[in-house]
Amino acid sequence: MLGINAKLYYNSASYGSPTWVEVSLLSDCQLNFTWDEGAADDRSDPAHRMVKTQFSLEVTGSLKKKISNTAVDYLLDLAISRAAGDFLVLDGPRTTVGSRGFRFDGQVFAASEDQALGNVIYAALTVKPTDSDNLVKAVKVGAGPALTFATVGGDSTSFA
Amino acid sequence: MAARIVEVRNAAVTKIGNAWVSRGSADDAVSGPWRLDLDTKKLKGRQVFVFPSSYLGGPANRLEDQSDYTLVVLVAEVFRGTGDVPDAWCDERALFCEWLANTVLGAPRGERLLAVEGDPDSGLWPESVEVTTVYDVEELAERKLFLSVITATFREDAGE
Repeated sequence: MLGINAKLYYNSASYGSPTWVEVSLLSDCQLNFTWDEGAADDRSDPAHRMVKTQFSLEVTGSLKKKISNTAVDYLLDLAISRAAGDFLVLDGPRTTVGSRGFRFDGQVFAASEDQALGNVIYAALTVKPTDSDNLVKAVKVGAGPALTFATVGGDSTSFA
Repeated sequence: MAARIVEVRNAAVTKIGNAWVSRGSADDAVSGPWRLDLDTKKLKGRQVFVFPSSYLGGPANRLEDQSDYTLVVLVAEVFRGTGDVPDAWCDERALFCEWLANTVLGAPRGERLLAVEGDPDSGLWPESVEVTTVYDVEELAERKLFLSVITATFREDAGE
């Protein structure tokens, strides 16, 4: 799977009936997904035992700044406000069966940019899940193609 | 539909032609031929030839490719006077080439080649412009031909 085919979308409609808008002017993008570890050592086993507690999810990416681009306007407005967006981050297009990723309500926490003389200006974005009634969901594109969702963290959670 | 490098060549010819308003003679001209003829018997006035040299590109972000197009610009003029070629005559041609390189082709804040009206992010900007040969020593000595070579690379992000 190629990074150039991975996708970041935001929802321009409601949570229940989303309209996914692709953020196409992204160059490098990183999806960070990490569980915190809790120590669960006891005398029954000399081995250290670790247990997953909470996970952190973060999307960082370089967004090319362009005048009058809808997605650029949307994300830069989120950067300067406390509003949250409904994001879908996948390792492939949402029309490709088998693509996987996450859906979350997130805020844009960073949008720094290097304005060096020789540069094309890109904003370094950081998007993280925020306080919301909607839990972070693991997403897989199923037959149709259609998005299927699973709540992360269950004992037998899977990418549908 | 022409190859992009040919479109860039043609746009450079137009830009030079529009900027070069003070011409020494009616024979002075700028053109974009495929073949070069430096027969000093046929060469009249000051000739500026623009040739496509090379291009390369790669993905800049998920939507656009960044492409570089390199042109080679030859400035050729024969000294038609008697005796040795005067230094002042060469000085003036060198100044012309400097103007061509710095002000016409290489101005980073100027109008972009092939820009779409109303879209400030469109078009090609000069990434590097170098006078690779200020004058050819042997051509001046043997044929009284002032021959200067400028290499200009233009860059664009395109794909939307």
